[in-house]
Amino acid sequence: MVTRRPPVLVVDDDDDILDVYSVVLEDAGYEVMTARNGQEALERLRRPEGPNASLILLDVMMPVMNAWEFLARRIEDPKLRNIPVVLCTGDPRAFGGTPEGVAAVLQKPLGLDTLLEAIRRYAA
Amino acid sequence: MSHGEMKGSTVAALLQLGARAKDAWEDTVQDVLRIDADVLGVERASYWSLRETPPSLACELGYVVARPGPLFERGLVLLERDCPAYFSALRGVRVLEIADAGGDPRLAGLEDYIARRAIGAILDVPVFVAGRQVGVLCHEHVGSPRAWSERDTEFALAVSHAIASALEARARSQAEDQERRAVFLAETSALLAESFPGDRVALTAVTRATPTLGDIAFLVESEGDLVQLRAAFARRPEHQALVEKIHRRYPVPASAVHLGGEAMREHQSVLMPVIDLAWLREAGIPEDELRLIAESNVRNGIAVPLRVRGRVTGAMVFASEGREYDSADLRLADAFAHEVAVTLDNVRLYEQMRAAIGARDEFLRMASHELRTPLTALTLSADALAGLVDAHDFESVARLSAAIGRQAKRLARLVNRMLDASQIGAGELGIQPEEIDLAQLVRDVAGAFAGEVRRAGVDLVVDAEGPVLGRWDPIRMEHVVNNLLDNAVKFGAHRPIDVGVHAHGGGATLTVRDHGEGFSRHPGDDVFRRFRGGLDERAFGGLGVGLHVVHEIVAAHGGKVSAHNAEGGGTVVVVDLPGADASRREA
Repeated sequence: MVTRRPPVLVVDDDDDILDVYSVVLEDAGYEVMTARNGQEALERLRRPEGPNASLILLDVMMPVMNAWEFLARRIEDPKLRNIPVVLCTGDPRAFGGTPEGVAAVLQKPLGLDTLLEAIRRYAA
Repeated sequence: MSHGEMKGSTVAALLQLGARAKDAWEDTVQDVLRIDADVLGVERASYWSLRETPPSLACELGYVVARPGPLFERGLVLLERDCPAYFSALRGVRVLEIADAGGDPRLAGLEDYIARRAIGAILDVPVFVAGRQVGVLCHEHVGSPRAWSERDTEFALAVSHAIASALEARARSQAEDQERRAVFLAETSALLAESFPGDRVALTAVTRATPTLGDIAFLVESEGDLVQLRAAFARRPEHQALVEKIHRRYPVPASAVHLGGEAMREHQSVLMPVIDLAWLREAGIPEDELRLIAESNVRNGIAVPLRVRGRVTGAMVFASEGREYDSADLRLADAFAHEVAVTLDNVRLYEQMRAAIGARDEFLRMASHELRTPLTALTLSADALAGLVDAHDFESVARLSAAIGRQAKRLARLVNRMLDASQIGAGELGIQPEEIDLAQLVRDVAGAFAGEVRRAGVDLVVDAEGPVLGRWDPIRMEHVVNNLLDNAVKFGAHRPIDVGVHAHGGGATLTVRDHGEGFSRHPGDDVFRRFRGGLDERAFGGLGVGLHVVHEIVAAHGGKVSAHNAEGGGTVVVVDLPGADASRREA
């Protein structure tokens, strides 16, 4: 019997981006959860019955709760701090390297190969 | 030694003293007056210069035999209007002899002056230079009346000639002054050029101005309806308190009465030979400050406008304790102020240019950021489509195609906004009005958003019962509605959005209301400014210039736009457009 891998959580404030990620990742065999900001992402991850995530694909600039605040909350939570995070941003150089607790930083716009390679490499 | 015996040698000494160099003028007169008082046996000897506007006598220097020791005084001013008989008595006499100062009609108006000093007799000699009366040498005998002897008057006349020589020597050195002033201006120019930013220039200007142009200098500039003090400086410690008071008094309304304000309103230099405390009191200067002015002995003031490229941007004020400003001082002050105004203007232009470049960089950064999201959707979709078609997963193909369509529209809107913003930045936002139905336009734009709002799960309620007719630019107005809807979708927290268009008084009102978080604080007008510091993300919705573009397009139509937090949550943006007549037409 094949063990089911936990889903990939995609966090972005753009609905079409969420839709496109869902289609392409599901097509590649991943289960996908979506959230529109950091707050929604925390709620998703903390649902007692909900599946844990194998990876978090995180947009940086979002309303309500942005990536930085989300990352700070994640570090405080022992159940979340080991889920790998891949940041998607327009300007990776703005951070001066990979921020602490982040597995990789991808530059938008990104192609399908880059996306799938990052997920294959970092997903728990 | 009798007066007579002293006279010969003293006159020689006086003539010698009178020939001293100009920069020793004060020392010369000081020595002359002391010897003069000794020889004549009077308690007070002073030299007063005659001024024309207003007609007055100003004490250049007075020697007073007092306890514990002699002292010098200066700065007192007698206005002709206060004692006209005295002024007319001085005209046309070689010597004005008053043996009994008490009750003499020629001293009418000076009773208080005479009583306070217990003056018994007066011997005054007009001082002439090149045939023109320039001042008066005054002798005041304290106590009882005194009959002046012929020797007394002759000696007094001789002293007046000595003072005249000293004055002539001072006049001769004015050519040298001209040269010194040219050097002063050139050095000022070099100093100012090294100063940056604007506040630094103002500080350099006021410190540099003293003592050449006055004991106190300050610089004010217009800022909207206010006049702001940029810098003030006093070289002498006894004037510090006054400068601090001046600091505390500003800003003042542009309409306030003050020397700098006069120069700014009249666009010309103002010379106040006698600082008139009554005028200042009328102007609303507080009593404690008037007292400071009186105590500081500041008696004369010059105000010159800061003028550049045909505009008056502020003024510099110079005030002085003892000196009498003349037209040469005014010219120097004018030239000085011109150097300062040009430097301030250059610094301001440089700062504006730097801010504009910064804004452009920020604009490009935001533009590239905003373009990346739709590009990501398009890139991923393009990469995935072929595989999905091969796998016959047409449901996914349909989902991606819909996303591609929406994101392509979004890209088009972003590109339009970039173009609008760049035209606004270049001052080339053209408005081409034509007869349109705004209600129809809003319905069309809202229709184009249908896919997007449905996808976001947002209820877009359009209340646009038409027609709402007027002459507006259809393309620009479409951009206005697009920008407002973009913002509402982005910040509306997926709650309903209400759009309304209504005709009113020949114009139209467009409202867009969301039910999101609203502004974190009251937005005010600056939400429409392009690239504010400490940005509120809402203002940067879409391309970060959405509201700015809306504001500029609406303003170009002669309309107004306002934004505020709505009661019950969310944000309302209200656009008021005038009808056809008020719109500004541009090719």
